[in-house]
Amino acid sequence: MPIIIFFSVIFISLVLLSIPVAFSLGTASIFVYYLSGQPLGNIPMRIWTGLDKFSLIAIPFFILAGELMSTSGILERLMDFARLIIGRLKGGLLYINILVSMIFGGINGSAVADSSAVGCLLIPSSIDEYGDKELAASVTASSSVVGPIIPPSLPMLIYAFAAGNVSVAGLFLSGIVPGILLGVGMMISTYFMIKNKNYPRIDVDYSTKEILRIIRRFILAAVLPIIIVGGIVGGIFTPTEAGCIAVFYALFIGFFITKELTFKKVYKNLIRSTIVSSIVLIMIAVANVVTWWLSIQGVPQIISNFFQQITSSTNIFLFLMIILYLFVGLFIEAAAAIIMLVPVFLPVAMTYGVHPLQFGILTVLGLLIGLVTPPVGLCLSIASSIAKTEIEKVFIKNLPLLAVQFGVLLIVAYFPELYLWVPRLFGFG
Amino acid sequence: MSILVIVIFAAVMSRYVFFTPLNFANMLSKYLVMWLTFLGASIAIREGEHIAVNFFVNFLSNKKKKLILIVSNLIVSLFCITIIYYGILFSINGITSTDPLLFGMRMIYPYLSVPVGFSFILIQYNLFTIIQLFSNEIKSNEKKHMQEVV
Amino acid sequence: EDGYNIDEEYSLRMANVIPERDHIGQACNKFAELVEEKTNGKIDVTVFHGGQLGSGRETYEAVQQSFIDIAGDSYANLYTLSPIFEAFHLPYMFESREQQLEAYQNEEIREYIDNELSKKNLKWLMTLEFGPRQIGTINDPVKSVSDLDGMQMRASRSPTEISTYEAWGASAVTIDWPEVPESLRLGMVDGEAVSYDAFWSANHHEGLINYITETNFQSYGYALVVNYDWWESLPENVQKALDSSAREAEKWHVNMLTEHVNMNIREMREEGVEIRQLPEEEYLRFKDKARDQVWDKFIGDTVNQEFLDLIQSEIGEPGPYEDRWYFEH
Ligand code: NA
Ligand code: NA
Repeated sequence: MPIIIFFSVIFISLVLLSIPVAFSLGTASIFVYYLSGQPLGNIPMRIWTGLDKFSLIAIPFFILAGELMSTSGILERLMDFARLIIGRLKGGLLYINILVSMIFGGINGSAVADSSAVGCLLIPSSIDEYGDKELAASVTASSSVVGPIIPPSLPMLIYAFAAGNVSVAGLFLSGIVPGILLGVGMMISTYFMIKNKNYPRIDVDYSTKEILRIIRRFILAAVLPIIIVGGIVGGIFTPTEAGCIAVFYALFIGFFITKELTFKKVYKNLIRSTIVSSIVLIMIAVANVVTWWLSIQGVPQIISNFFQQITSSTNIFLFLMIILYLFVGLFIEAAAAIIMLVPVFLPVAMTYGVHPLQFGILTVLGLLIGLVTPPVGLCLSIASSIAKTEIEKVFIKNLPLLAVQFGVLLIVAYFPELYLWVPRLFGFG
Repeated sequence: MSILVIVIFAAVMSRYVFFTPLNFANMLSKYLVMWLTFLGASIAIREGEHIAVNFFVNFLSNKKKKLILIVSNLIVSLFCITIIYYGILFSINGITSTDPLLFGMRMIYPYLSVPVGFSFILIQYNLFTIIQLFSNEIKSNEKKHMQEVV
Repeated sequence: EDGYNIDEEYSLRMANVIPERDHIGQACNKFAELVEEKTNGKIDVTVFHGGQLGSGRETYEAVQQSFIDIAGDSYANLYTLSPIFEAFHLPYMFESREQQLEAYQNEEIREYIDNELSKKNLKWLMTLEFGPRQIGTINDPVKSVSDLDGMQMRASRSPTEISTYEAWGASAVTIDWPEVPESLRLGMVDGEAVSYDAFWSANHHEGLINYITETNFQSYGYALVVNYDWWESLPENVQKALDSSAREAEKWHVNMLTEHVNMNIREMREEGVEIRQLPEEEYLRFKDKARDQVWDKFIGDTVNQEFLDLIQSEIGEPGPYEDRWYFEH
C-alpha cells in the first residue's frame, strides 16, 4: 500500500509540473519499478507490447475519419438538413447545434474537436440571430459531450481496449438510449431557457426541389455514421475496417461530391490525425508499463479489498465512482483517464456485479462532463473563445444543461435496464 | 508520417477489396502503427499538443514557469534516456526472433520503434523547452490547441 | 523422495496466460502447491493467471531476459523465439494421446528440445495438453473435407495451422484469441478449430459455435519455460524439487483432463451443439490432404528432419482408430 501512495504522489506531482500525462506516468513507473526491485529492462518491452494488438489500428482510422469529416463538407450538409427539420423552431440554431453533435460528434474521439468544428459554424450565426454569446457557447460546449455517447464514438473504442474483452458493438449500442436522453434533455432544457425570450424564427420557405436536394445531400452525408455503426453492429466489418472504409468514404465525398477537399487539406488532416493518434496511443503504450507493475504488486486486489471494506453496496460503489470520475475529469482529458483508470477499476466494478457495458457508459460520460466544468473545461474554454466571451459567464449559463448531464449520469449508474436492453436485443452482453 | 498512414490503408484495404485475408497485412499495419505512434509523439511535442495539465502552472509568474520548465525537461529527459537505453537492449533481443506471418521478418525492426521514437522525443522535448525559455510568453497547451483547431 | 532440504529462500513469479479456472490454471496452481510442499515453503511460487503479466510471447521473452522466472502459454507462441515445438504442431503428427504423452515425457526428445531451447537461453520445465484441434463452425456442419472448401477459418499465429486450412481449401484469418468471440459473432470467419475444452471454457458453445467435427488434426500443448542461465545457477536440490513437482503436476493434469474434457463434451451437447465423429475413411482424407501438402512445406526450414525422425521412432504407432483419444461419445 505505501508504494501505491508513493506512486500516486510522484505521478500527481509530475502532472502538476505540466509534464504531459504519458511521460508523467512513465517517469513515475520508472521510480516504482526501481524501488520495488522490478527489472527496468521490462519497461520498453511493455511499452511496445502495449501497442501489439491489431484492433488498436482502429484508433488512427477513427481519428482520421473525424478530421476528414470536418473538412470535407459533410458537416455542412448535415446542418442544412437539421435546419430543414428543426430550423423553424424558436432558437432553431441552438437545436441544430445539439442535433449535429449527437450524430457526428465523437468519431474523432474528441469532444473538443466537435466544439470547435460545430462551434465555428454555428456560434457566430447564433450570436447574430439571438445576441446571447454565453448561451451559444454553452449549448455548443455541452452538446459536444453527447457525441461520444451516441455511436460512433472513439472514447468507447478506447474503453473497449482498456477493458480488454468488451464488445465494441455492445458498447455502441448501449450508448444509444443515454445519448438520446442527453440530447433530448438538453433540447428541453434549452427550450425552457429561451421560452420567454423573443428570438426570431428562421422563416425560410423551402421549395420542394430544394427539400429534395437537401435530403439527397443529407443521405450521402449520413451514410458515414451508418457505415461505421451499422457495419460494426451488423457484423459486416471490424472496427478497424469500419474506420478504414469511413476514411475512404469521406475522401470520396470530399473529392467527388462536395469537391471541398484538396490534397493540401488531406495532407493537413493526415498530419493532424497522426499527432492526435500518437497522443492517444502513447498513453496506451505507457499505461501498459503501469498495469504490469500493478499486477505484480497485486494492486487491483488491494483496491478491490479496500472498496469492499468501505461498502458492500453496489449503489454506494457507483456513487464513489461518479465522484472519482467527475473529479478526475476536471483535470485530465477523458481518453487519458480512461486508459489509466479502467484497467484498475473495471475488475473492482465487476466484483460488485456492475455490467462492463454499464461501466463503460458511466466512465465515458462521467469523465466527459469534466470538459464543461472549470477549471480546465476544454470544451467550455474553446466555445467561449469562439464566442469571444468569458468562460465563467458561460459556465453559469450552462448550469441547466449541466444538470441534464448529471441527471443522465445518475440514470446510467442506477437504471442500467433502461438502456442495456438495446445491446441485449442484438445479442451483445 | 503520411506515408505510414497511406501504407496502413493499403494494407487493410487490400485485405478488404480482395476478400482474401492477407495475414501479413495485419502484422505489417500493427508494426507501422507502432512506428507512427512513437515518431508522431515527438511531432506532438513540437506542436505542444500532448495531454497535460497546465492549470496550476498557469497561476505562476513567468520566471517560475521557466524554472518549472527546466525541471520538467530534466525529468522527461531522464525518462527518455532510460527508455532509449533499455529499448536498445530490448531491440537487440529481437535480432534472433522472427515473425512467421511477416515472411520471417526479424523482430528488431518493429522493436526499434521504441528507442528510435524516444530519441526523437528526447530531442524534440529539449528543443521545445529551449524555444520556450527564450520566448517571452510561455504558451499553455490549451491555447496552442485552440490555435490549431480553430 | 519427498522433501528437499533447501538452504536459501526463493520467491518465484510465474506467468500463466490461461485463466485460473481453466484446467491449465489449476495445474499451474497444483505445481506451485507441490513446490511449496516439497520444500517446506522455502520456494514460494506466485502464479499470475489470465495474462496479467502480458501475452504468451511477451512473457516468454520476459523469462528469456529474466524479468520473470517462469512463463507458460501455448507453445505456438514460443515460435518467434524458437520454432522447435513446430514439429509437434505438424498436422496429424500425433494421432493418439499415447503418442503425444510419449513425446512430452520421452528422455531423448526432451533432451533434444532442451538443447535447442538453451541456445535461446530457455529451458523447458513442464508441458500440459490442450488436446487436439476440432473444427467448430457457425452455420454449416463439416461432414467431409470438401465442406471446408471456400470457408474462412480463424487461425492462431501458427503457420502450420494456417497451411492446414489452405490444404483443405479453406482460407485462414489470423485472429488473436481474445478477439475471436467478436469475430465469430460478426461473421468475419465461418469457424475455428480449437480443443474441446477451449470451446467450452470460452463459452463459444453458447450461441457462437453450433457444429463441431472431431478431426484431431493438430495437437497443441502448453509449455512452461524458465531461464536457462538462471536454472543452471540453481543448486541441484532446487532443480530437483522444481523438476519433480513439474512431473507430478503433469501426471495430475493428465488424469483430470480426461474427466474435464468429457464433461465439456456432455455440456456442449446439452447446449445443442452438434458434435460428430468422422468415419475412418473420411478421417484419412483429412489426414492425407494435410500431410501431403503441409509436411513438406515445413520440413527442412522449420522442422528439422533429424528431430522429426527421432519423434517418429520414439512415439510408435497410434493403435486402432476407435481407441486413440479419450473422448466418450
Ligand atoms: Na454542438
Ligand atoms: Na457520435
